Amino acid sequence: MTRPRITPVLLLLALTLALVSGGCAKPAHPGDPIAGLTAQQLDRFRRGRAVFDSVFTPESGLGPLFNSAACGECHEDPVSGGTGDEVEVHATAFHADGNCDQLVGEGGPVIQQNTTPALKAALGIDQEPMPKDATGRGLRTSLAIFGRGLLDAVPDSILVSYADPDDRNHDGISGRLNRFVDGRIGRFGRKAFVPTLSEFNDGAFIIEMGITNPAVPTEESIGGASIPPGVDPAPDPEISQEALDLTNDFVRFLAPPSPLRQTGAAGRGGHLFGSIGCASCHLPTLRTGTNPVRALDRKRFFAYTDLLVHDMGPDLADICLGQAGPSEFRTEPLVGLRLASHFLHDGRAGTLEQAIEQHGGEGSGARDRFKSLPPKEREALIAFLKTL
Amino acid sequence: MKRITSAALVLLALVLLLTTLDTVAAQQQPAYISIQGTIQSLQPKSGSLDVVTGVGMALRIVHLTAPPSVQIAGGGAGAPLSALKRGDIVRVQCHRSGAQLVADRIEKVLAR
Repeated sequence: MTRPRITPVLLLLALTLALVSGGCAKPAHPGDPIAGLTAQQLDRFRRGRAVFDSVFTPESGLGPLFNSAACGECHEDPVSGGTGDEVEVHATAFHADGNCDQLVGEGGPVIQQNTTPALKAALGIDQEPMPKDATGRGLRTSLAIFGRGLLDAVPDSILVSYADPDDRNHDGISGRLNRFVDGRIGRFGRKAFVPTLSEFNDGAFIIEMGITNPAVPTEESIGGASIPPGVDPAPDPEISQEALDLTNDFVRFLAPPSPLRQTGAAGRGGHLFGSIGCASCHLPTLRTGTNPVRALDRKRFFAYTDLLVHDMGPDLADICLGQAGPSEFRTEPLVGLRLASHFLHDGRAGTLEQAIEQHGGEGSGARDRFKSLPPKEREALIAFLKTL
Repeated sequence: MKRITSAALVLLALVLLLTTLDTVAAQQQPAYISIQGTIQSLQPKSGSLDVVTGVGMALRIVHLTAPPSVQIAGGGAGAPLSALKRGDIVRVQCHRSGAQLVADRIEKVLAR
């Protein structure tokens, strides 16, 4: 099976879903939990948000290398789980034989931008040094993370069914699966490198805040070198399994914000989104598989992604990661797009028009069709995107 | 009666001795560890390899020694360490020997 064609039936299904989520059912606002959680799950959601918003200090485990002092520092606007203005730095080396070296031995792939006072005093550095063997450097903006639990619950088999690496259906779109270092199918992160949401979060505690935890009990190296003695006095692990699990539940249970009403121009824009080919990669809906959490069990939801990586052309290319080359990026889920103020993986686009116009590679067909639309229709498409 | 008691005591001592030996042997057996990741580098001559593993974006390098006795599966029967290459995804069964991790079996899960 290849990716579904965006037929009138599918579009009708998406519109029906929009009506249900925007009209009949109570709409989900940014930061709301997904509908249908049990009282116990709601309690975990609220307690998890408290951990998410906790500000760490060197005494409670922050650093010695870090990007931010709290999850909620980068995911804060307009509520916890939203966007942030922080931009982080990644670096890897892409070799001529097609291998991607994540430069783990030199501190990669995430190059932390801050140090604790103790580390600065010991080494005289304000940030982790850039790996000398890096062939690419990538900037990464802080995304809203609404609806990630639903993305996590989509079975791998769905991703496999959408992949078309050899473009067998000749539509110019050849989405590929990326894989984690152990071979599992990835889906999280701008390069779809990380297989599961909980692993992404567990790893984020250490790479973003330097908080060791039961899943990652060791600190990051400093450019590949060990941490000097005495600069990280907090005993490991620096948070408990319970705190980790609560944070994971908060993120997992964050609802995707319901789209706004799509009437008039936005309604026409929704049709154009399908007809000019945006929806070939930004698949409007996905469906979760069976899940022990009833609220995540077999749910169709707005996703606007296929969770695959696509070649986006040389102008957007930066780093490789796993099996994704420098120009390959995961189709960005457009859920909560109306809350973003900068677009594309590094925030280089200040408007949605610029973001579309900078699509290259497999996105160039849809981009060209967008550019050839009359101004009123282009505006309609943008109006639609601003409802997401 | 006395002979029967003596025989029973000898038997009991034997059972206790065997049980103790079995426990000691079990304690001395190395604990096996399984690691799955991507080969970062490989030195067939010196018999060592580095495998990248990790959780999320927090990646780690695991250094392993691979003695000549290591079994390479998925690379053909009796394949040497050089049958593997950088970028291959492997599952390594290994054990700890002092500070080192020693590979006992390396299975190619996904070829580069």
